[in-house]
Amino acid sequence: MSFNVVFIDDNMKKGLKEPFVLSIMKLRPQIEASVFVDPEEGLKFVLDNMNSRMIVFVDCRFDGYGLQGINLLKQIREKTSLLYIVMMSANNLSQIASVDLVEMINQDFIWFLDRNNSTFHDACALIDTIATLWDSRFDCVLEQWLIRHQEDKDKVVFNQNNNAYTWEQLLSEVRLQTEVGKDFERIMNQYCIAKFKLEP
Amino acid sequence: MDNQGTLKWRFDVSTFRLIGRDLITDRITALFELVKNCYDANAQIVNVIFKNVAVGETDAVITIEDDGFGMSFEDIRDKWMVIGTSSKRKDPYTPEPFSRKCVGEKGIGRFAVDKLGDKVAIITKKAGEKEWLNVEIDWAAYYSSQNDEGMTLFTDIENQYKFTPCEDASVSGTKLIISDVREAWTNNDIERFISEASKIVSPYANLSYPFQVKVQAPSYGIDTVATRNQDDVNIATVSFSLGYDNEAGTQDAVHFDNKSNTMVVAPAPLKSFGGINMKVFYFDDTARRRYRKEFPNNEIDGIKIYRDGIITTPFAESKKKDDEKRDVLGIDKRIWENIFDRVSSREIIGIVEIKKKDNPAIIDATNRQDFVDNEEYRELKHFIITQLDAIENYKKFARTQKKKKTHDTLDVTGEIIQDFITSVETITKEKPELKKSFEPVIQQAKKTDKAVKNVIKERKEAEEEFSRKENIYMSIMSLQEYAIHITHAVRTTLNKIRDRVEYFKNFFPNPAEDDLFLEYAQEMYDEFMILNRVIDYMLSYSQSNLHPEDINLSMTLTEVLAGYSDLLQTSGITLDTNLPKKLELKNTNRQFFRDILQNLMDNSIKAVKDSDTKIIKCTAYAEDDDLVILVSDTGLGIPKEKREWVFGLYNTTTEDQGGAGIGLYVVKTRVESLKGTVTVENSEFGELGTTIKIVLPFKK
Repeated sequence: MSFNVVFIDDNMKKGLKEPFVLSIMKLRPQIEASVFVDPEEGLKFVLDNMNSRMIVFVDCRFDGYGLQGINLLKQIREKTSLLYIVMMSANNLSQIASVDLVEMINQDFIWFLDRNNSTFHDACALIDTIATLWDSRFDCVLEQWLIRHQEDKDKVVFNQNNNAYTWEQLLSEVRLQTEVGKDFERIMNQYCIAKFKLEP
Repeated sequence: MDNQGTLKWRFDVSTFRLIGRDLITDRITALFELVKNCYDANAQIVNVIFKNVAVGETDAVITIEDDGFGMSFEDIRDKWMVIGTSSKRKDPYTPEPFSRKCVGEKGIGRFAVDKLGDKVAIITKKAGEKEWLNVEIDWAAYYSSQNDEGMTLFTDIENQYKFTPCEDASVSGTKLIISDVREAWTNNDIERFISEASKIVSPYANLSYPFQVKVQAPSYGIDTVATRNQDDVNIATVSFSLGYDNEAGTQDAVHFDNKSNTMVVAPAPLKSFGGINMKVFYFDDTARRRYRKEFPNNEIDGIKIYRDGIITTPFAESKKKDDEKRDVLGIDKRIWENIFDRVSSREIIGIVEIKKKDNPAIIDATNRQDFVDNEEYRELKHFIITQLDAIENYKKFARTQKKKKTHDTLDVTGEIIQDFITSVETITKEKPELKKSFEPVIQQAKKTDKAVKNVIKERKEAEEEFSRKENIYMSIMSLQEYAIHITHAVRTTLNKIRDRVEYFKNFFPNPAEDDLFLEYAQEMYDEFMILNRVIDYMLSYSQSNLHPEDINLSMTLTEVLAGYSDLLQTSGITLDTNLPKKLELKNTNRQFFRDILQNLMDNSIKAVKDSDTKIIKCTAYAEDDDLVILVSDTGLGIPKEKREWVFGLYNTTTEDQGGAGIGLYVVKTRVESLKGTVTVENSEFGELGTTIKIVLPFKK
């Protein structure tokens, strides 16, 4: 299944001409890549497309820009905690401010790619790991199920606060981690466990 | 089973755990949530009583008792015991006459009790009612029921209530009695709660109806009021207070006036984040010592932000050690820029007051420990930090004054001894019979005079040595920062080369990509050239003399410009200079000035390459306490939106003319080493080209 890999790095070539990105694309033809050298533009793209499967590679340091990697991470996390983010740096971890490190470690679904000692093979391995996790995550399982059951996507299946939600709308709510999305995911998980308990 | 019907959602019994114990991070935050609810209930006094909570004691109970408006049976049934209800969302202000801005909104703060203990009894009553309502909740029973056979729902558990008579119908309030307390509370834990509770309400909030938190813990002999008074800030060395005026569109800002040597508050235009009130109290060494002695349970702990009178961040921060506390405003990070003058959060107590109404873009982060990162919040942080400049300038002034006072005292002492010797010698001349008696005194005075003169000399030498060390220290500090930049730059370049080499290794040859391979080969060559320049720049540190020296500015700059005469001539560029002949700079670094001008000249030459009019102008002049250097050209110009970006490493607007984005980075770092600033200004040639302005403070 195809998915987006977004690179936000001011040292990369614009468009799809960066060898690191091209190498990954050759090894993993199923991915659709986008490269942004301006962190503001990259952030806008990510926030506008949160409703799709996406891995975001973010450089830690942007020389001459107000927005730094850690700000991108925070701003994405303000909107969703589900998106996979790979922080990249040419600096050693020891050179990253400890407050920023703590901020990174305390986030979910985050990886680190040491650009000095890692090649595009390592990046591909990370992408594979994340893709495997996708198969077990609630929103991804739901998405795959909906692909197989297109006829169900517009069916209303959940009501909350006098609002009705279809399967497709619920997928979006879960991805965006809205209150409705979180409630639905929690209830579904509890329901599945209870069902399994009753009918093992 | 019927063929059709309806189904409804139910809640598993473990739900309460998800929204109670698991959602609230620590016990102090949990208690804080409950105290906040008392505030929203118009309470004026809250008693928090810790009974038998010490290690080894049994039957521990925590009681939170307020004199707020209390709850009726319907309130408990239809609001308190319905998850997620919060009347505060519909009506954010508490009933009149208090009209407090509610601080809880989510309707789940009540589940904080589960974090503290397994059982809670709620005893509550509204004014006018004749009975107290008692509700008992046993969280442990909820939990154990999960083990029963079949599914137990959260909503199926029954909680007992009863009414007990009350003699005084006019009384109102709520009491939470939490028993089966889960963990022991140490003296330290309770002190930390008191410390946090004392900061709940801004001491400057205009609360017509005060809010006091009283804490009792008999196990530790604690019986105190946690609300903060203003006695401690009265011993501050200096302070300032800023307000704002929405109608006039102004926000007060403070600066240190070097003429009157005072902090001056003046109105400035309102900022994007809206108007704020800000009070800051600075404590020097003496004031800090006095503070620690007089207020051992309080701390000088930086700036706190209050919204509508109630603390927002740092929210219920329970870290005892200063180093573990969050520096959300970034005050302490700056100390490494200039350890001698920067103000740290341990030297100030500050209160910033924002309002939901006036500062809508400043939004609490979900974890309550910071705000959502947006442009308005970044400008607010910048504004707060900039106001501290006034205190930093005051510190510099105070340091100079102290030094001067020591000088004056020693000088006066020397003069007094001289006067004494002269007087005694005059007396012995007039009355020679006294000479023998006075001789030892004169000898001793002369010895003392000599000793004082030695002290004055040594002090002068020590000051010079300190000043030299300070300069070296500052250079090393900036060198450390540059080392991080440079290693990052070198590694980035090496990574770029490595990625291209790897692409060749894996995918060459491929006739369809011949152009791409050629492009990569050219880029690798360019990257090597850039690497060379970066290494040259780094080497210049080992060559440049860190020891300060006096230089003639005009001579130094003219030497650099002379090196360009041939190139300027062959390129048809006119050089216009306006340099003051007699300007001597004390205690500075010649090589840095050379680097700055060389890089600016290289840039300008590249920029005017394709211009019809090719002029480069270099001007220097003194303005107040600063040296100003302007380098202008009639070249390509730098777009307004890139005026800051262009100083970043590898950022260039002259890529087509061979610019690698190193020149202006070198200029910026050199200027910063000299404690100055560099900016891109509107070109002095009008529409054409660029003006780079450098402002360097004269060292006194």
